Amino acid sequence: MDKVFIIIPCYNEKEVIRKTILPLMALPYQVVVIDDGSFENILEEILDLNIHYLRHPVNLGQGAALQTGMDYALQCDADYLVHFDADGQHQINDIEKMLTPLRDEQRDVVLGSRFLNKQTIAEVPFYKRILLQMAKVINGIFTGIWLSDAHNGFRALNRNAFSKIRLEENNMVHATEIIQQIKYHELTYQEVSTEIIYTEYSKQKGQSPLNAISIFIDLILKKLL
Amino acid sequence: MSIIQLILTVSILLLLWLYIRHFKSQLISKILFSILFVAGIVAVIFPEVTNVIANYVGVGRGADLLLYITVIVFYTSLTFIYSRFKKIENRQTEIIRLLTINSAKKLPQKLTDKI
Repeated sequence: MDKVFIIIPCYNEKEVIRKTILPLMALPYQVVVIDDGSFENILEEILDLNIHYLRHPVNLGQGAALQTGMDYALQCDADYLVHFDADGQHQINDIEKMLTPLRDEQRDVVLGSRFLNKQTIAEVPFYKRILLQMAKVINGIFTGIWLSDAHNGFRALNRNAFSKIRLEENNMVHATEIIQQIKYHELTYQEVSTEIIYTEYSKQKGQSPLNAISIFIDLILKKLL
Repeated sequence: MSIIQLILTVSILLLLWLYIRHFKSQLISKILFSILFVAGIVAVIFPEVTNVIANYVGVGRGADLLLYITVIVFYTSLTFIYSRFKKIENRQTEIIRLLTINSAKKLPQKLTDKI
């Protein structure tokens, strides 16, 4: 039996964290919650669940939280790991779909995409669709890898991938950084159609269009320096 | 000597003093910075000198040449500071990460356990 770790970075998602994790408890995965220095008390929500709980003493950003999760999974001898959002917008049924190419086709990285299936495309709000199309082009130019969905937080990695990938961008630029490193380490990858359900909560917590601009500026700075 | 020349000269001398006093840098960079500061004072007291240099490189006025140099120096320093800042941030992240992994908890914990 292979060891699958679900890495859930979490920043002040007290309202929904339990709801996100509970269905995972019935599945044969190890759940790792990385509390990224939340000022809300996340621990008290999940104290009784069979999970791993790690807490950054200060807020570092989602990229840093994912890297901490990957380091921890490496240390725990995980075979595969999955990046999963705390706000519940990713579907638990998609996890096996993501793991299949890792197991059967020896892919190093599997990336979730909401733009491979007509039905899941229709669920993406209009302004997000435009924003993500722009992000796709920018990502393509910066990384040389053209994906259908540039900023999907749903990813699955095998041990080869997560022992090589090293995220140094603590903030949201990590989404592009991961793709850059796929290219750099010559990892094999595949996109898999996944569903994203936009709840009122995830819309609120999600990134604003303004944030996209600041990510873009960060990217340029990183490329230049 | 006009008032502005006096103000600038005193400011430059003060900066030089601060630099030598407080920065524990190497002797060579101390010497280089001293030369730079002295050049600054010369430019303040004899502005015609900058005009001569400016004309030589193809700029109309000495003040314009100084502005161009200032812009370049400013952005170069900004880049250095940014990369230094990034390095410190990365180091800090590694320390926090180590702390975090070392104090990872396996839940569920008994209520009697101290959290």
